[in-house]
Amino acid sequence: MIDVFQNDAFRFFLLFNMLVALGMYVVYSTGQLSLGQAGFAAVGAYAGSYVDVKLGWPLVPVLLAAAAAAALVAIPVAFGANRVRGLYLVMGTLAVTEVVRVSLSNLDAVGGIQGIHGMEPSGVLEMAVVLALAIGGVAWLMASPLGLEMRAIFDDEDAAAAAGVSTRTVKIIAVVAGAALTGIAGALFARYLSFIRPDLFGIGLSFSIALYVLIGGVHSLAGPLVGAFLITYLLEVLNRMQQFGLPPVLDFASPWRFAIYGGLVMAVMAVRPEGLLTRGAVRSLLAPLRRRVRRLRASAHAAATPARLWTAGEGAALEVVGVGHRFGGLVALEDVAFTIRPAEIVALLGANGAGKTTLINVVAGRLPLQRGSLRLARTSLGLLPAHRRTRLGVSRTFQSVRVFGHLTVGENVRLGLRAARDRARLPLGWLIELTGAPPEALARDLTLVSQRRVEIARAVASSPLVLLLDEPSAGMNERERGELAQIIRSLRDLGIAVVLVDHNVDLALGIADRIVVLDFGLVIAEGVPDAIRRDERVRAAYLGTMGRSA
Amino acid sequence: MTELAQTLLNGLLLGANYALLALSYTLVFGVLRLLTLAHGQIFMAAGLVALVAADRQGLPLIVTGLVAIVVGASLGVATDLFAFRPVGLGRPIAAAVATIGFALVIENTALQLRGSSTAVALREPLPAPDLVLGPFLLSTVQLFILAIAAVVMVATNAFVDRSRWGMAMRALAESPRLLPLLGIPVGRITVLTLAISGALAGLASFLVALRNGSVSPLAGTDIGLVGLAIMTIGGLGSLPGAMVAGIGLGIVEAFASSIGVGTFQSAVPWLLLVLILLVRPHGILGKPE
Amino acid sequence: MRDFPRRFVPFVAFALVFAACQSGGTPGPATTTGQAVSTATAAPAPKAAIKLGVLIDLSGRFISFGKDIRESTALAAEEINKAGGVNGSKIELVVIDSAGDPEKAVVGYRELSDKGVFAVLGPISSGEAEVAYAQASRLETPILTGTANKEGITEIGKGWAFRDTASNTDLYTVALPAWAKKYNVKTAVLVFDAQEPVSSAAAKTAIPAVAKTVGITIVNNDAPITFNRGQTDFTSVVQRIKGTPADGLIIMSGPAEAGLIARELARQGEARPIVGHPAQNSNTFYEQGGVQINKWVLPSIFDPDRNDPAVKSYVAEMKQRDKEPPTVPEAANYYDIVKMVAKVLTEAKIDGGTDVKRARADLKKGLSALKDYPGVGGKITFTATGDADKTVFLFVVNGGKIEALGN
Repeated sequence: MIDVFQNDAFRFFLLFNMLVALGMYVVYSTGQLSLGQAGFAAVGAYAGSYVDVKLGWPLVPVLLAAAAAAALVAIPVAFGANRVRGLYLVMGTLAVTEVVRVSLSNLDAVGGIQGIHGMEPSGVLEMAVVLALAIGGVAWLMASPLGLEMRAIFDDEDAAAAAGVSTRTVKIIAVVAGAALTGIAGALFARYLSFIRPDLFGIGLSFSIALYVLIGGVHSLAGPLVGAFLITYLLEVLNRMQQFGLPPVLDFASPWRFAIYGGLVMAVMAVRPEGLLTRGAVRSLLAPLRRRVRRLRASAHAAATPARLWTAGEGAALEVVGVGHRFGGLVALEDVAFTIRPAEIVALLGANGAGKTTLINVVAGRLPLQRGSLRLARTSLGLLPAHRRTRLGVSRTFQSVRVFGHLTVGENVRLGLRAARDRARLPLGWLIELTGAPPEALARDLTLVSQRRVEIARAVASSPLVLLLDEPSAGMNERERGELAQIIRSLRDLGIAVVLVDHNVDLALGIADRIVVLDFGLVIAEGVPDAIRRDERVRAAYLGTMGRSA
Repeated sequence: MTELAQTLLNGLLLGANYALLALSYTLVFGVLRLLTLAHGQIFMAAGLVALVAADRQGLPLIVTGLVAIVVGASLGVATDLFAFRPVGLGRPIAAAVATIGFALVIENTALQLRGSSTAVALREPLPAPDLVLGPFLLSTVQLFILAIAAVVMVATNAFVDRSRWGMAMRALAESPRLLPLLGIPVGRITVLTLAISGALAGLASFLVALRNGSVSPLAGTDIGLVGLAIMTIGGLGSLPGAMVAGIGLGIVEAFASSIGVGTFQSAVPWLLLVLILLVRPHGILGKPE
Repeated sequence: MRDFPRRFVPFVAFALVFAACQSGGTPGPATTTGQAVSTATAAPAPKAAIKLGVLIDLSGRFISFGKDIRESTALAAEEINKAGGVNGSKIELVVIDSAGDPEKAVVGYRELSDKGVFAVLGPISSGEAEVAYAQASRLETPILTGTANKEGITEIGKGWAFRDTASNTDLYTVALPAWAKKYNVKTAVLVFDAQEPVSSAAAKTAIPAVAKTVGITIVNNDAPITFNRGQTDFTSVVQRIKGTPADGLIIMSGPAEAGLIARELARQGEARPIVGHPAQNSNTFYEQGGVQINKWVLPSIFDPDRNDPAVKSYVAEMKQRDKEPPTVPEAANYYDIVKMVAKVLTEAKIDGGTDVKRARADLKKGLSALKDYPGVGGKITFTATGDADKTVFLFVVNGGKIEALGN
């Protein structure tokens, strides 16, 4: 079973598979499941071989040329990938593999369907060095803030945008980087064989690479590497069953090995649908992490209340003027106007369908501004996309909790911190305390209420001037609501202007400084809680639901 | 002019088969929101078994067709049992990967048991002369194929739109979690969906075999991918979209072949896919989620 | 960023250890398998076996070829061993499955070379051979294929690669003139599979070149009529053929496509004489095309009805051993290869105990010098490039039945 490693060719292809799996990992870490990797490998292989054979370049320039060529081809693909989602993306990238292969087959300048011969040979050593460097590079990338953004996009692209991540740019970077890496692998492959042909880089290769990543596990760098290793090793070992001196009845294993592999694939997906190495499994193997966690916890306990972010001056934090929005023929908002100042809590009340969430979405930038104007302090928000507004200081939470499940509590919060830009940063320890959860826990493992607090902490982490909370108390019991009210008040004390939408009227009336009541998209009342309680129009709209707990 | 008409007819014929196969994918995706990558192999296996049986046992035409349909349906149900159920309905990517595994099992079983040589049978399926209808040279076999394909497509659509089971299938597509609460057996719906879908693939294979008299054990992967491409072009989960896209692709391919595009012939479905997605990111008739 | 160095040191280290483990794959001295080491003063231990590698497809697209070739090579080895082996050493075949995949062919070739085989037989397909042969000069192990007939692949092997099958040029230098003479053909339409590297190579280079030298004009050089491997609908292809005036058709494809084309040609009333490719001479072709194959000339490198006792014995034996007849004609080439190798080794006085490097070098030399070896496939001589000078047999299929092409 070990002597299979003595085969030089086996060693090479094993490392090659690991490198291309790594390339796909970079792309897929943003949730873009690319079946176009074989196409990028082909481009890299051809570019590298061309400059090798026709221009006589040495190894390193050859590899750089391969990476550049693959990256260049990847750019239009990356832009196209931004326009499509889900399975459409998968099929589109599959199309890329086939189109590249056929195009190369027709390019007689690079040998067409017959391929290119005569590259300088490279061996296992070069591949091993490149792989080691690649692993180091990708590890650094994923541990960096950019890597955090990539992984957030995987979990929830919209929430990532709301958290201030420039999702379009990050996704493009991922595709291009992954392609470059795969292109280098392709060039080394060509050099090992001293020969390439277009059909060596077909759809089958793209699928194989996808399997390495999906079976190995996509939530850690080790997953794809392990997946590639195990699958390549398994197929080769099964190929040699006769040589192990096992009883002849097992001889069938060799020709049937692909069927056996298929069966194992089904079994793995049934038992571990997210792949062999889930993030939890990998983390539990890494003891150093625990030490870091203890350090973080310690700092959390030492957290004091942070200094004010904003002072309640005369200027408004947010001005909403004449905002209107329609969905087709349905008018959701009609001439809505209100202002909110720093260190103020404004509650938005109204029946279901009154337009509250729509208003939040318009302010946050998730819906386009069709009519009216929005100003944050003195900046007009109207044309800016959601992630830019977050970076300027408008944060929001969602009606159904959207945290990044595969990221830890700490990472969720740190992502929010990125959007703070040049504003004063809130201390990480205090923010973690705000979540009420251990910083190293995976967000998906928390209760709904805890997740909500994580989401709020993430939104607050960007030091916003305006915080839009959409139904934060949903699912909370009385004690939890009390804690929530405390938190919101402390946010106000920091100077944040909080816009609160919630069905729990008692909560809203209890902590709000002012109330704005919407009905059928129109503002029907505005004022202090006591006044609103007595307002006839509000009573009529709500039909006596005032004062009743939700 | 005659050549144009003839090419159009070829395209229609090719497209009819494509449409059937795309329908089989779309049923599964449309109802279960799950992707199966094993249908290409089901297509191949159903046709292979039917032709081998026809060759060895000398089966009449109808029976051969039935064998293909039954094998297809059985393998469809097997996909549910071995790939979908163990993974569960909530994990589409894992389920799709599991179907890749299943496809590998089917393909390699066929290769090991049968070898790589093509199975040949149905040499003269309908002993009747060719018909000349105006500019078209139509063989009775081709007419037969077109007729069956049209009937089946209409029937499938009607079933999904009007029957009780069809309604249940559509309900499952909308709210998978609601159905068990209403006491509707989700398991039975998925089995039925996969059975019909597999039967469609088997029928498509039979119709192709009628035209060529052969099925190759190696044909599964290519046709499977084309089927997926068509479903995507038509819009995921849209039955009318699958049919439009299937017939459309058949016609485009026929014209490409008659012009002579060399190696690019095999890239036609993929180029079409890229073009359509650029203009309509959700396929021709697909809806944004 | 803090966790970066620690988390990933194991993987970086792993990759480097991997690189350090590479030992260059040079073959060690011949291992003696199956040698009984007796401490008693009994009879001398039997000689070590001579290992020959067989790198064929036992899964994947050429599995039908692989199974037949496994039988024919086993048959040859048995016959040699029954007659005393090679200088007292038995021939032992080591079979590795390359699954039709060029990468696996490379791994398999390496594996066999590391195991100390004196020569490797295979791979089957030109696609695999082309890639594997590039390794030949590194591994310095003679490799011989009996099936891959793409132009130029032996040169890649730089003297270590041999081919016991006729190249396309050789096949058509014989076939085209005979065909032209029989059917009075001066102009021809060329139709080929654009997707498949081998037949398209033949169509693009070998055929036009040979046609020119024998005086046949290809009328559609600038308007190639092509299709793709796996295609099943040839209506428009045949329409275009019909629309191109010429005396005959040259059709380069695999057997399934050829059979379908034959049916479509008959259906559309196209009756010109055709010359095809040896790959078409298989069961699939006849089953597919049936009685509608007419005037279809096929060159071949094996004639099972040849009046030669060795041929008759081979055919009879294979009939017994082949579970799914008929046997592919190319299996005979591999049978011949085993026997040729045995002959060269015998004459060079090599046995199982000979040093591997020396054995391989001597084998290489001996094969290059081989002249007029009487194989079941006819007389075989290896040229300077390692290709074989082989007899080309000509057949024609009429009404679905294959017979020798008379004059």
